Amino acid sequence: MGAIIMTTVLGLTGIAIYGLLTRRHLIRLVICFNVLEIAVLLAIVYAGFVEGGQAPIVGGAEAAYVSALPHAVALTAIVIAASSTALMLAYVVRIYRTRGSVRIERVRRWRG
Amino acid sequence: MRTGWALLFSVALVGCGIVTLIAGVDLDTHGAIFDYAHHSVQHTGAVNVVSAVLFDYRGLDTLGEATGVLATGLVVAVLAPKARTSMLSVRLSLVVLYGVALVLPFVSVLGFAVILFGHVSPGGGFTGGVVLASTAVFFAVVYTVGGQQSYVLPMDTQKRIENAAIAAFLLVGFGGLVTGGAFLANAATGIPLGEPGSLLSAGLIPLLNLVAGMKVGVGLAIVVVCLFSE
Repeated sequence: MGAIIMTTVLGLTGIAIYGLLTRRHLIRLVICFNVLEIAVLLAIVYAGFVEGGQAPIVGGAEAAYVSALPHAVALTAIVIAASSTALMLAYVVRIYRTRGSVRIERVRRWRG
Repeated sequence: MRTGWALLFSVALVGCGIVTLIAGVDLDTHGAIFDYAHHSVQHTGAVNVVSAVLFDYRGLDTLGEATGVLATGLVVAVLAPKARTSMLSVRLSLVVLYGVALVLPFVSVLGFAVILFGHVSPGGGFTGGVVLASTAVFFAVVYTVGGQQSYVLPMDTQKRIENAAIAAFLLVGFGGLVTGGAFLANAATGIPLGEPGSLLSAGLIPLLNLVAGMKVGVGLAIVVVCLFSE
């Protein structure tokens, strides 16, 4: 279980970093950021995993629950991820309006 | 060349991660984490431990999160201020129009239910807020005719609700500071925690859930509708 999840996390991280380094289309960069965020969220949620634990809604009987703190952190991170994605997309729209392209190498004064 | 270096870098990064895992670095820290599940009912009265963490133990972080959404709404509204849409000029069929009209009330009720029962069942202010925002998105997509944007609520009302929600959050926080000795204090203010599992329990958590739900619902609706209008 843990090996599968950590492999997924590492794979997604690798894909996202590679994409961030090689892609030049701004929308694709935003997508790479989202993939990276998903990898991080998966790692955070897995950090609170307890073998055989139930969802942290306290019932009557004593039982093992998965840790609720990473869930709350992940919830916060999801909202912030959505906000930052919206901001990035708004800036992409703005750049397209003013510079006429969303490809980095065609946006003038950005060459380097 | 550049692609090669990027590939090398990504593979090296993933390799470091794999080596860390194989070397047996223990990432499980359950023992070190405070056991919220077995204390939250006693401390906060909330059966949903995630809600208890979000709005009681870590209330200040949640306020920061809500502020982040507020800032995003502001910046997106500044960057994309157009009232006419160019994206949504597609004419939809009658089935879609009536189907959405049929579904919308149920989705709104679901959103409010998820918010109001956030402390006794899965869900909460943020989840329910996103459901509520989805009604606004439905509405904007389906009932935008000829590029003229349509809203569930007028834009000014939405912004007023958003500001009122964040002000209410702060008010609850400072109320806790005055009566309970800590910002966003819950049980320490002397508010009755109620029977755990009932609708009126968990002190101030349902109120904060409602406020956060309004905040997130309206904030995300503003963001999405503003992005549509470009």
